[in-house]
Amino acid sequence: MIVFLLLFIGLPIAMTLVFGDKDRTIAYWMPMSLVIIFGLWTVISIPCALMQTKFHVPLYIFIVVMILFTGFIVFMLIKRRRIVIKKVKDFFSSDAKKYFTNVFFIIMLVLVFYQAGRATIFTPQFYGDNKTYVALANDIVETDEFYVVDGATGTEITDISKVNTKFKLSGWYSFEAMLSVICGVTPLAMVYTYLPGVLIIMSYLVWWIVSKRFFDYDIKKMSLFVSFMVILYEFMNGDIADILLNWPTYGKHVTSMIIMPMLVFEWIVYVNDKENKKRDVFEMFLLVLAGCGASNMGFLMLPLLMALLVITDFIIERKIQFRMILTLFVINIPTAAFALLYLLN
Amino acid sequence: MDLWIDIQIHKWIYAGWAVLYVISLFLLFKNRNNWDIKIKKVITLIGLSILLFFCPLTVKIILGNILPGPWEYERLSWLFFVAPVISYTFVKVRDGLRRRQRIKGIVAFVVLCFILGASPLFTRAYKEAENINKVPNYAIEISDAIAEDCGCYDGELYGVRQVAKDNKGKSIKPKVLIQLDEKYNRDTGDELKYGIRQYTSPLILSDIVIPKIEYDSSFFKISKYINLNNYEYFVCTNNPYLRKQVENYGFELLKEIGDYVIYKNTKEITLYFVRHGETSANANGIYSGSMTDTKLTDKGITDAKKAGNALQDIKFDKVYVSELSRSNDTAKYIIGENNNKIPAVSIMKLLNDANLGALEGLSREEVAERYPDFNEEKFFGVISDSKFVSPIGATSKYKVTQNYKTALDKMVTEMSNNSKALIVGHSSFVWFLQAVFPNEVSEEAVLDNASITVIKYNKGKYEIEAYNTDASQFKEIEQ
Repeated sequence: MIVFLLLFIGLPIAMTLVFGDKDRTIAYWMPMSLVIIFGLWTVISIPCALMQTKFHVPLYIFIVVMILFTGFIVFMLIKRRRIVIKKVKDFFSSDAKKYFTNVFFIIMLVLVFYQAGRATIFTPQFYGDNKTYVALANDIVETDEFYVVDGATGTEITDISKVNTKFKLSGWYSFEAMLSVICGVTPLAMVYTYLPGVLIIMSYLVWWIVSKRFFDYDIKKMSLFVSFMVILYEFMNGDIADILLNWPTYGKHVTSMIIMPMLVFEWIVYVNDKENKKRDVFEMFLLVLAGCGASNMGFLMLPLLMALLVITDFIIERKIQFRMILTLFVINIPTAAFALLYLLN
Repeated sequence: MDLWIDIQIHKWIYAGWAVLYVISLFLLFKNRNNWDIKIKKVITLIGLSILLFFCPLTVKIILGNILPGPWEYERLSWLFFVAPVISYTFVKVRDGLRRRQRIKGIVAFVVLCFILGASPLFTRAYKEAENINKVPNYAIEISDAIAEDCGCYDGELYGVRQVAKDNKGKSIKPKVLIQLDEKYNRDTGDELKYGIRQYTSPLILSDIVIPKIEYDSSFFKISKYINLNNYEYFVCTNNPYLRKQVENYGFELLKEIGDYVIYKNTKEITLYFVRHGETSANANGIYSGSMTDTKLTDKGITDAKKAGNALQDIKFDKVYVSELSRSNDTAKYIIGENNNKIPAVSIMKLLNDANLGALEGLSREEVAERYPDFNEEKFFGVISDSKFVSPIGATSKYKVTQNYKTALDKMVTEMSNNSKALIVGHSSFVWFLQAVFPNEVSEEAVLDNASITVIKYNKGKYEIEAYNTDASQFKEIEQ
């Protein structure tokens, strides 16, 4: 539990204190930390899965890299201690007061936490595709091997080429397995009890940061916007709401509800702000990498979304910017790599 | 119609959400110059997405060839940002209202959502989780009972149970069959099956649907539905008729848990397979399958007697032979050497050798001449290829393997616990061995004339104890 809280709350707070700015608050760094951790796991685990190494090999590599990364963050915290202390003071003297005295913000928090809690405590009677996904994570943890069995039945697979490509090229199941190992709980508990609430909250955090740009940092309107979304999803029927509420721990939820809106946000920042262009491109690169790793739909949907964003800018601005086209290609390097691996497998 | 299903307005209740979305888009378009400069970009982005979604060229031709299945078109709706667009529009509309109207607006929004959401509220059927693993308690109890009995877990690593391995280094993975009253049953069915599978990963699960109306009768015969011999455990409804049938199969009660009972396969049978002795066709290098009935040579008779001598002390409860005389004759010589009283020989057509088609009766030289490109895979297929059709009219390896599998299943069903059977058959039995024991029997393996192979049916699974041994080797192993 401590490791889980450190990963999903401690790390984002530290990242906010070190790298945060007006847009990149804790609401940004919570989902972004997930993207960084998962992106790192994708890069480490997929080659290992394809080479059929033991599961503990990528696990140990990941732990070492995470320790180094955490060390770097701690070093940066110490190095920038004056700025960090000032940020903490500012938060408690100004921001906290501004947020927590706003009724709409409080209502939004209640609604989001209610929904995250409800989805965690109550579970739909059908397991859906999780019958395969969770079983895969379970198999990985319990046998220390990647994809040795058929996810649905448990029959042993002796040939990696017979494993469905979508399992081999997605690091999401092994990510769930890895999380359960480092947090010391079963994959079932991780997938059904620990992760859903966190991932549902992250989905709303992403729209919270996007709404900053659409409501000009007006807390009341931003809170209303997110509150209405909570109500909509609570009552909505069909796959869109199901992905969020019934299957929040599916890779496709992470791609569609967290990574795609974050890409839209990053694109808005990239197009409108004049500073830190390289950082924006790097963050979009990370998002595309994580999006492709989370779901096989990612390497179809993410370039499509990016291309549509470029075309949209072209239609509205009436000019083609070479820089945008170049950015589009750079951030889609992971897409090309995944597509190539898909074709080869 | 596919497209309507893809965008989920094939049910009227879903259409309500689509209408709400269209109204939102219309309002966005209408107020594009007043609300925000970025609205134009949002409308363009969604407009392009909708165009992409509904364009037959992109959907059917381009994306259709990339997407894993037609139902995946629905994923394009991720680009529509339905909930954010409706929410944004509503916040903006609310801003334009007077103070009192704003509260009414919020109430109207919630009521509208409630009306449109009435269906999912009642059909989603949320249920409070019973434990941290979100698997029903009875599924956990069933899983634990089976796991404890078969010993499929051994110690812990990183705080998580680890799958145990047998003395050959293979994971212990028992085959479990679950009987369901109906498929996709909300209360049990999926929860039971997938609950067990997710909670206890080593179990190899299969399910069989037998409705209560069928099994709740004294006329019920489970063999009409499934052959239980292929499973090590059977989980079924606690019903007297069903239980009686399962017990008739040689299964023993392991545990009763709520409405369910767990049965364990306890049957152990030893099968001694002997390939027929050398025939004149064998001696002359002539292809002889099920269509060529040849006689044993003197060497064939001597070898058969030697095999019988090696097996002389084994008391066979059953003897099975194919319809071909070489198999029958070999059995007679083996039985003749036996020190025990042997029951009458049962002839089983399923044990017949493969039909070699156009190769029947041809010598190796003739085959080399007529079919210079001859190879087994081309003429008999591979064992896993169920659709293979031989160009020379031969029986495929798959079909032969299935025949042997059915034959052995029948034998196991007929025989009582701890009994022994003698099977006299043909060289094509090696294909069955290759299919069932891929690690023990290589693809190049053959069965020699009068060789002895010992297979044990051990509580739901087959194990190979001796393979292609001659009489003297077999005696050494026995000692």
